[in-house]
Amino acid sequence: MHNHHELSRRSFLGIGLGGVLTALTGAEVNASEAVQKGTGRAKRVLVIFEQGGVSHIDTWDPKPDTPIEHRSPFKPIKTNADGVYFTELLSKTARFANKLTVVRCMTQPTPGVGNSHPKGSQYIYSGEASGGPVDMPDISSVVASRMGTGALYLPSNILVPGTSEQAEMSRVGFLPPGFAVFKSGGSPADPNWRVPNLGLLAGIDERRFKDRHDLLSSLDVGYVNAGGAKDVEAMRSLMVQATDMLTNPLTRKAFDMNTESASVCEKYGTGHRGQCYLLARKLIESGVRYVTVDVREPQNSYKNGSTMSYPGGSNMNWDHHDAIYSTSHTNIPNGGAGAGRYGIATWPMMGSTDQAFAALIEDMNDRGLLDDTLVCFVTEFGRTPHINDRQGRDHWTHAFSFAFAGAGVPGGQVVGSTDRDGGYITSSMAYTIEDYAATIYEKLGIDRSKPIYTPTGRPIFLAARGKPIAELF
Amino acid sequence: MRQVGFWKSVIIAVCVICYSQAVSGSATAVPERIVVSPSEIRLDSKRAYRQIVVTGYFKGSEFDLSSSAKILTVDSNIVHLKGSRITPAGNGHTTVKVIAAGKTVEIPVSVSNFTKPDPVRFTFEALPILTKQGCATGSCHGSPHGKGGFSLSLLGYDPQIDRISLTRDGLSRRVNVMEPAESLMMKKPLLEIPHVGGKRLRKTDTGYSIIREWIDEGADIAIPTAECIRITITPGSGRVLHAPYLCQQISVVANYSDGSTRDVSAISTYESSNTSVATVDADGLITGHGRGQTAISVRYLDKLQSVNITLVEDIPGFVWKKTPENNFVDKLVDDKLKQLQYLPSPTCSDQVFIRRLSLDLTGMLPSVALTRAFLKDSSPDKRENLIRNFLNTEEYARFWALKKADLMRVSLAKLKQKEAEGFSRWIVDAVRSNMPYDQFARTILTSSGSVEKSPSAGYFLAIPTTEERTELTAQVFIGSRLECAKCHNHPFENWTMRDYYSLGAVFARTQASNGTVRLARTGESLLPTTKEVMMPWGLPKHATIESSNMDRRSLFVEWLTKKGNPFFAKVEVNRIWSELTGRGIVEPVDDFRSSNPPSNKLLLDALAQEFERSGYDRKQIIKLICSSQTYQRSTQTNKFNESDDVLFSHARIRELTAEQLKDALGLTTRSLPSTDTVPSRRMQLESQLQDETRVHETTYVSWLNEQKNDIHSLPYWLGSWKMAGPYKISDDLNPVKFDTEWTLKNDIKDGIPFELRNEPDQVYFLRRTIHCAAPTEVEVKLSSNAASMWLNGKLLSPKLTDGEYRIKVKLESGDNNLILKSAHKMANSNIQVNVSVAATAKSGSSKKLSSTLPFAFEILANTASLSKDENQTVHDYFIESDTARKALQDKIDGLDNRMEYATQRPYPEASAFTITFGQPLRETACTCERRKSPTLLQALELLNGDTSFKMAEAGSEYYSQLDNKSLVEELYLSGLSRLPSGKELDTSLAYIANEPIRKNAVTDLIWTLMNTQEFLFQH
Repeated sequence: MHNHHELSRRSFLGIGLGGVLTALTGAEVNASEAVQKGTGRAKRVLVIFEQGGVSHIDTWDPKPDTPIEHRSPFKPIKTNADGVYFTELLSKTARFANKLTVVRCMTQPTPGVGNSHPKGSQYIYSGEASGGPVDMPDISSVVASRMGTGALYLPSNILVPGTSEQAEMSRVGFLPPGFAVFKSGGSPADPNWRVPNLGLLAGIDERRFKDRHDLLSSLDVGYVNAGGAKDVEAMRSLMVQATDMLTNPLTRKAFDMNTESASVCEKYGTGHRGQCYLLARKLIESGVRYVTVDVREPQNSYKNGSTMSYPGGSNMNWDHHDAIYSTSHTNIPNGGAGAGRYGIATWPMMGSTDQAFAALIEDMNDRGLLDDTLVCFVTEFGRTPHINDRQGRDHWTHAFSFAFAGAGVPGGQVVGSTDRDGGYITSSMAYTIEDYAATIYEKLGIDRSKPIYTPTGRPIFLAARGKPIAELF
Repeated sequence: MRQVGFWKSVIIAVCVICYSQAVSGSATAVPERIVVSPSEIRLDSKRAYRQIVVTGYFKGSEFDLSSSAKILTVDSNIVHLKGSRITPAGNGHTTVKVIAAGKTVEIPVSVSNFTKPDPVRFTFEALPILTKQGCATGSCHGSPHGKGGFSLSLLGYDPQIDRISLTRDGLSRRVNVMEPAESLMMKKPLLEIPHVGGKRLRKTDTGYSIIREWIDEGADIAIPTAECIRITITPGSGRVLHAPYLCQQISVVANYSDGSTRDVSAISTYESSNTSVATVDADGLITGHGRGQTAISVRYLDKLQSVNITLVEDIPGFVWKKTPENNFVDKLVDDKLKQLQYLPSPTCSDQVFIRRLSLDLTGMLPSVALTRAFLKDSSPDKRENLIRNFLNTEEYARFWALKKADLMRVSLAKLKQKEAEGFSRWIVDAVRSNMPYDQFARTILTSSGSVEKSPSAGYFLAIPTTEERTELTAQVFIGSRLECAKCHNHPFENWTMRDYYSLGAVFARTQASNGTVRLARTGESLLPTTKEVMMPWGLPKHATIESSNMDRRSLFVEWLTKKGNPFFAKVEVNRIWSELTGRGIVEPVDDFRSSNPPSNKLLLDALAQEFERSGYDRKQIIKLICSSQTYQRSTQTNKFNESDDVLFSHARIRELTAEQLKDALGLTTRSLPSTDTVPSRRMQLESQLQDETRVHETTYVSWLNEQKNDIHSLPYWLGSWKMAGPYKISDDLNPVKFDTEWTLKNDIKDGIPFELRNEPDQVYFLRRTIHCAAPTEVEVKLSSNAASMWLNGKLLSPKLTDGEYRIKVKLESGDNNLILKSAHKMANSNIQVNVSVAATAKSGSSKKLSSTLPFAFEILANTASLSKDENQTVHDYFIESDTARKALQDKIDGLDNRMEYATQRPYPEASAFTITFGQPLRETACTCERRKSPTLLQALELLNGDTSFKMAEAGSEYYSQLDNKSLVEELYLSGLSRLPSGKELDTSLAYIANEPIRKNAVTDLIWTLMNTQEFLFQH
């Protein structure tokens, strides 16, 4: 759990190299200065959480020298950044590598979390492993509570799309429920999709809502001389805010997919994933503080506004225990826990992901959103360098990759390295989920030396065991 | 607020000068006498000192004169002065003169051991400094991961951690005995080198000299055998400061187990619970800032004690006006209001009273008929009558049971539905019969056996771990949040880890599983830091751990429910008070601690005494509070009480709880029938049920024949399990020829593990029939930790199998007899068995033999003509299998459990609506789980939510039948328990007249009323 500097410091001390100690301490100071320079660059955060454990060696961290029986079939390709290679599954994203930093030395050494997707997901959401004395709220909820909203008529913390999958993983914890994530629900790829509770109900048009509201204004005399009744005041102002959300055309516009041109929609991909990425960009553009995309293609998805389906697919996340290189579903005879996915190279997996992520980076860059939006592409862990006897890859927590862009994150950069097979980190630095959380807080300029408090008064420090990833600042 | 602002300016000018100059302006303020504490001083070390406290007595009031008193030393070779602290200068005897307000008191002083070395003691002196300077707090190095790589135990609870951390970790640079000034312990807090925590120490601080001396002397980290057993604070609790005399010095003396005492005023840590009333500095000097009450908590090592300070000031224009006093509650509340100069609000109207009382006692709005009758009633005791009537309703029993069930986690997440319903029903019965609260606590906390026989065992079933039981019991019955003390001593209270684990010892032998609570003969609770076995809480003094071999829980309950227990009665009356007024006298209600004092101590004490006197009669306390003027005050404030939020000078406006709101919406819109209709609706369903049974009955014979045919055409079937035992293992038992009474165990399902509770050397037998039309090869899977299996008299598995076995066997055509024998030599261990039978692929059928035949069919399969009993069983099954009948029965059960009423059901509705409005899911024991402040989602739900939309639509169906005026009046009476004002009526009528579709207008009107503050809040 200690960061690499401290580990190095200890090991050097062990062999008595005092001089090196000073040099290293110097480096530490420089790194933290760099962090300070980039602190507060982000106004908003967009997290793409691809759940299930994306195989790093098939995507961000190509390993062409792995022995053939375990090697990824996908060749390394050049990107538009000098010396930076991805696999061909990221061929579209490769055209924007000059906007990205890929961190190949992510690691997740917390015992017990490696085998559990719910725990691993909660780890990503909250930046802290579950099971401590207090369960950390989501990073997004903490950010909402510390920074408030960027657009009054919209929730400050939105999850796209948000399904029952995240019922337990995303949590507001001890923070007031107002900071809980708002789920956009359904699929923005569905032409009939509406956001729950943010559009007026069927049967109540704007005129009728206005009539009702006028009547309410004249009949709701409220309380006079209600000394000290804070809740009365709070409810009054919340009603005003809620009315604004319901009637402000900008609220609907932020969720209205029809305001996007057909060419933009196609650029992202017209399936569920592409449109979720696009909705995230719209919400960021509307001023939402923190948007998380946690998406997988449903078995019954969409294409150009019409329904289509993926036969044999059920829970199509990245948990490729079986037949990872299948060109369709992964339901093999005597298969294991990896049934119901689609092979990593298929459209509902890397196909749509590569397309949507490339479009997102290009689009956000064109709109100037990358200046002050931190974009993170994350997953719970990587997958084994060895292919198992069901032609799948299992969970691998020792090394995996995240990608970052925007808010001052250097472009065309690779941080850290892994060994020939992608199994273990070989670079001097290694970063944890806690470091990822600390990076987000630091990028937003949130003072981590100030704790937040639980209702019983226990001080909680944000990403207490993490240090920001210095290379991103 | 105005008064506070005014006094702030006066006080800021006054507090610095405290007594002396303030008094000079007031000729009358000459004390009758002054008292100096202590009256005699002995200093037995060159580092000892004594803080003196000087008090002047003025016509029944006391003022602190410590900082203004002139102190003179007679012999400066023996004593020196440091402010109002006496410090030694040499051995000998002398006196000091204390002159205050013209009076003089002489204090004898003796100094000894002045020339003897007295090194700084690490535990008693250095550690408290780390707490005092803020180093060891939870937000600094006392946090679980420390700060900057330097970690201390929270507020010094574990010297073992701290000594290593200070002198060994951090490359031993924290303490440098060769060059003390180079120690990080000195340089960092002095900010001589960068310190993230900032400057925490000044060279003038007492702490500086102590830490410096400690390092100079070699940083000894010996842990003494003696410990601090008590601290004594002068003056004690209850001091009243009268503006403009706003200062108070306190002194702290520690008593150690070796008999020694020492003044620790300079190294104790002080904190004020309400800094807008008074602050306290590092030397223990309190300075008042504005009227009100605060607790000054004093910490020295693990001892924490508080003194309550009241600050009184004159409010310009304030004149006390006597209001009616209905009982002692009002007298005690008014005394406090008079003292602090708040003017109470007048009595609320009848309309407000009936709505408030009904919501408080039944959870629901009063019916229109009841409201009309109450408003018309002119008898003087009608409010009393209403209170009595509500207390006798079923709604009261259920709503007040819900509050208890919230805390005791009665939810489907923790309990099976039957358990939850049973436990909940037990609580309802207890509330309905007004079970004395001590009996309630005793029954719950000592419950044993199966949940069917003793439903209160649900308490332990819902909280299976010792930790949860410790924390829940402390929170519910002791009103304290003990969970902090699980890992470290409580930061704001005296609760220590020892307390936590000795309460844990009470429950260490209580086991709960499979719907049953049992007491084990072993099981201890260990203190995690030392692995010491903790004595269970409640064990008499000097008892040994062996003497606790009885039900430890009853010893604890005896301690808990004994009259005069410092928590039990107070905690419960405070909860009742909070439920009725919206705020506890101690708030939060489960956070009793000396640093969180009651806002009216005498009131809390008197209520607790009354509760004890009445034999813990909760209804009596509710009646007392509801009858008081205090409860019946208006929420409208005046300029002399608008700033009061804690002394109950006016009623509080409270948001309806999730359950209250849900039912209020339902009742107002008539989408929920009144609870009055429950009996008639039940009767109707009963008669439908009878009709259905009668019709169904006519098909019995044809059904019977049909089933017989079906069964005989089955290729195979499995019979239900039957059980015999337990027997002694020594008995000669032959499972094959065994002939005995078999009991049906049809709760055992194929492929699902089941448990047999075994005493040592006990044996159980289980038997089932497998019937095959033709010989079939099957695979029998057995997984168990102690069982063996016979098929048709042949042993299939090794004896007492431990593990999983798969055995292929051929079943004969006709009945096959499978017998299982379980035995265990270990005490208190469960035997787990899991059996399944499947046809193998070879047998030509890939089907699992999974469908166990219902026992009734087994009878049909085996018997040509049924005996009377057998016929009864089959007939019962036939009746039970009628789905229409089952649906009716479910409806009746639902009505009995009042499932449609959120305020009345046995476990939470947990719908999106109720959760949005803060309904607790009963996951913790904390009343804070119920969210009380409004949220944006609530506003969205009310304005635009599906539930409120549908309810308004439904309401329109009913109200549209009435003429315009009646419907508006009926709506106001339903939702707000009052008639509309002339203006409200006009506005409403105009709205209906202007809207082309009348029904829509009525819907809009209902929607509007539902969204008014008056509806959403209780007032």
